[in-house]
Amino acid sequence: MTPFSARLFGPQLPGSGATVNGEWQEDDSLKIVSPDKEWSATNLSVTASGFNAAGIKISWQDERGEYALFIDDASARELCQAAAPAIYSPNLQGASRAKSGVERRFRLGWALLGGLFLLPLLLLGLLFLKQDVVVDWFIQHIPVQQEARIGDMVLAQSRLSMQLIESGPGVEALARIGEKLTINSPHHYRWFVANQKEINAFAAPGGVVVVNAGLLRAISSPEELAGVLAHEIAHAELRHSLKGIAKSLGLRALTSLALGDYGGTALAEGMKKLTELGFSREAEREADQEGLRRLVAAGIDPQGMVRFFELLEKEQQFAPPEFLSTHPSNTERIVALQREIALLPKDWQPLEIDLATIRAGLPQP
Amino acid sequence: MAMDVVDYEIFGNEMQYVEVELDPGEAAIGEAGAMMYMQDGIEMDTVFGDGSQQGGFFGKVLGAGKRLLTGEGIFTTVFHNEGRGKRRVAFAAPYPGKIIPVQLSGIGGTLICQKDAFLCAAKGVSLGIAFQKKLGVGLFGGEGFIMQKLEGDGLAFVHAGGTLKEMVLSPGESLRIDTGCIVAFQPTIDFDIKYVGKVKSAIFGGEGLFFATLTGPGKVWLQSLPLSRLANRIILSAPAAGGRSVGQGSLLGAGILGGILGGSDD
Repeated sequence: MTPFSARLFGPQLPGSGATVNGEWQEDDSLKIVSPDKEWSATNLSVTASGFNAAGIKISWQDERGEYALFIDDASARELCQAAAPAIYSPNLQGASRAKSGVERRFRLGWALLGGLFLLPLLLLGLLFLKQDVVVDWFIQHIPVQQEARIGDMVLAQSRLSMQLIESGPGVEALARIGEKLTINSPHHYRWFVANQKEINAFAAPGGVVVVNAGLLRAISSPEELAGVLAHEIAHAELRHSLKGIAKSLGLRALTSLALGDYGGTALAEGMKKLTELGFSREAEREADQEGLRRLVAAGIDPQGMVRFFELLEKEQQFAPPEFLSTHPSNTERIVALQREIALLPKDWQPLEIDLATIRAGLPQP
Repeated sequence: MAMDVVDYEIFGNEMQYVEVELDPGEAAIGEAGAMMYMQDGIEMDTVFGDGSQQGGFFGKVLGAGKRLLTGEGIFTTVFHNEGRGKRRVAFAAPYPGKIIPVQLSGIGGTLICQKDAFLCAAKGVSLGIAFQKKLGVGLFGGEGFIMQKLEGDGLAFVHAGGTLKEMVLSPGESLRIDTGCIVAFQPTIDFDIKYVGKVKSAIFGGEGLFFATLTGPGKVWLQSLPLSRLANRIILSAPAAGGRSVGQGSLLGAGILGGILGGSDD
């Protein structure tokens, strides 16, 4: 059999060992040859040993003391293992396992440590790449109560910049139509008329809907009002304004929302921006769809919504009101709505609301 | 690469330097900054890596990176004798301690030593890094995860603090050692750690939670005064310094209480 190189330690040998050759014999003993001496060893114990358990230690006793043969060179290891008698091969395999076990744990340890350092970075990267998904997830998990509190803050902001009317025929009409459109909503809706002459309406988070007096004067049927309300309610239900805050301010504001911290400056900034915020075209399309669905569910003629957009289109020709600068109102929207409405059955209950009474209740412009 | 055979002489007692004699054409590598003096005819050459790499640029960069990990400089200085006669160059130890010569061919060609222990060697000895792969030993063994590996069959000089003790461990013989006191050992030595045994000893014994254990067969070199311990004591007794104790020994042993109760001769 092929001899393998090794280092022998034992009595009457140098402390740092002597270079020898080992060779397995037919009778399961191990012959060890150095330039000037020979040993024959039996009753061997085989273990993993040395720095990092990287070597094989074959040790035995004789009358002079304990000997140890140490094999750490990779090729010598292989030769030794290949020729080893069957009785020692389980121990040799055990030694190999011990060696790879140490290495595996070492790699695992460093991988864990590396992971620990990299994980925050990775998460941050993921957050950055999947911002939309994260924002959506976040939005869906803000509790309704918190949303209502945000609504309160927006309301307080709005009161500073405009006069809000909280009762009267106008507000009652909004509430009557609104109730039909918000069946099964988790929000507690509050309706307001703002003493503003622009044709505009907005919905704040948590069910705050504000309609300008100018809009109430401009429309020609209660169905048009229902169309506007349905659209704004859809914005509120789909939490579009929360998404708006999230996108303009980032997750910092959202985190403070989720934790219920309303003292942060981030949120205050967000509130200020909220009323000026426009929605994306996609959000508008979504709100149109959802508004239409709500109108149909309530049995209100959705043509009112279309007529309102036509009214806006006409207004735009003179001077684009504020409403238009944020709402991408265009013929495309009208066409899309008409297409959907054409597929619907035409049996609507007319709204029993007198626009003249509402207008009489509004403050003079 | 063939090793250069060098003659040497070590001078001094506690603050030593080694003078290496180079025949014409022979060379030695030294730790950057370790050179003390050199005679006429010796040329100094700074190489990237440790001067033993034969590979291309990438191999050299890798070697240099490894050297950074072990606390050595990126560059090594090669001193070669370009004169006609024997010339001498000396390398000095950077702090009180002993220099030990190790003939690598006599111990099987490989020596594992604590990082920063290398002082100089015959050209052709390669400086590598040996990762301590046993996690427990890396964390609590006092030598960290990164050790230095000297390979070749020439002469290498390592340096450590205090008095150095060379010991021979017979097969199966084991030695418990205070963490941080191990300088170098043969790769046949099993380096492990052992819990001190009793909670009381662990907290008040002043030896820390673990001993390092070295199990034979093979040669080991121990130092009596690791540099960090010396530095600790100097800082503790320096009136101007903030006196921050760096984990030698137990929590209470030599640190705060020792400072208060130990008197002025601490």
